[in-house]
Amino acid sequence: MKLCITKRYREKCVFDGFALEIPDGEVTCILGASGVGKTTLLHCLAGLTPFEGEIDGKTENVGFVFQEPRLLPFLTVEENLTYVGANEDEIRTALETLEISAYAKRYPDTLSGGEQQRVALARAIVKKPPLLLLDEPFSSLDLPLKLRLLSAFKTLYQSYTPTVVFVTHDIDEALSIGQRIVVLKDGKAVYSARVTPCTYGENTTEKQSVLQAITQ
Amino acid sequence: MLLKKLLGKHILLMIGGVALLTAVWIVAYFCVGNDLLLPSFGETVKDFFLLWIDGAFWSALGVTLLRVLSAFVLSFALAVLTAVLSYLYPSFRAFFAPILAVLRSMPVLAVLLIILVWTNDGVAPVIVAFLSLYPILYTQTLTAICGVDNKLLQMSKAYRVPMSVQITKLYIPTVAPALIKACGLALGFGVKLTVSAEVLARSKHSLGVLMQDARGFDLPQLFALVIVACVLGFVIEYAFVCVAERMQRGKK
Repeated sequence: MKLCITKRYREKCVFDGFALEIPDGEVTCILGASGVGKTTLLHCLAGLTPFEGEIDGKTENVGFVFQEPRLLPFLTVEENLTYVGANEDEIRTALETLEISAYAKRYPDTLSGGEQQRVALARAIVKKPPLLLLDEPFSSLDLPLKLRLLSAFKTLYQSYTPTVVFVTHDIDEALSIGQRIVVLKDGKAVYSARVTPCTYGENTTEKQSVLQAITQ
Repeated sequence: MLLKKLLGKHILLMIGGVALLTAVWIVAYFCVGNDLLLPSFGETVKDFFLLWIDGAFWSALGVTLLRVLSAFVLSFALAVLTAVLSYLYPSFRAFFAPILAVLRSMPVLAVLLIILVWTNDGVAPVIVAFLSLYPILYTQTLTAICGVDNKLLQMSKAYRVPMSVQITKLYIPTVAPALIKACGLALGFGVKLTVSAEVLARSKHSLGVLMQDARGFDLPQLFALVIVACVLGFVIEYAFVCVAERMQRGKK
């Protein structure tokens, strides 16, 4: 997937002809400081905000995991999955993949934050969309829960290898799942490299390079 | 168990409130000491129950309720329609704002006199109630629709959820409790307003005209009829509020 976009919020220009290539079937992690346009990029890809330019690739059918679970509070877990158009078989498979079949009849407010985010992940993959967008989905979770969900994410990614754009500000998180790392700064990609996913927290040379790109 | 306790406490407090009002009435009756100014509590209660076996009372009650219901249905339908338009089109909301401001500030009972010139005593109370209920229901409906969580709407947009599904699964469940509560308040207010308008318009076969007839020579019956109007308004309002709270609890 290729994109070239310009996005302005009133006077502020977030992207001015920003070009990026997102490899199909791979996990691209977008890193960068707050306010560089990471979330805006996802919103452009999902069609949530208007922009100038073009995106060359399939973006009609996307799965989106937001920072918060964004589940409908008055629907059960399975009803939340039905809400996005999934059928019974798809729901059963998605819940099994994320090991949350036991929560099917429960309401979101009876689940913990991590469990709700698991449901949000299940909702994102239930229709097996070719493009999966994740906006700092684990940023509010503690480390053990984050590691469990990263593991769950890897399982679901391997289940059908969609194109993934994963926005995060956690370098370790990006390096543990990403096959390509992009660092955004001032509306440009200041760093872009292919990497091999490593263990969370592992001190690699890529980590030093990414850290340098973010802080320079 | 906790719910039962809370409900029990609530009912006890309400009975306490009624008992206080009754006590004030009885004390005031003995202080005034004139049945032509303030009837006794016992006499009024007797008349209140005598009304129940009076066919004219039931037919008057039916006619008044029909007027309340007509005004309510009319204002509710128009309020929902215009609130949805205001939500969808900000320009419509801006265009509509001055009209709404006029309706809100209108002294409806004074306007009743003008409406009586144009229509008759049967229709005028309905129009008066409509003019009062419509701005309330419009504002409540618009506030409820605007209160739908923007993050859930954004999620729905990302997943391309069809509008029909969004309406049935997101908008209606979010808006319904607030709207039902507003309907209860509007109906309760509608009863008071319609009866007041009927008194002024001397509408035939209505609670209002029964009050007019009782004025002067049958004060206990007048008080009994006022109590009927109060109880009716309260029961309707309370029933709707209970349903709305039950829905909200269910939602949680």
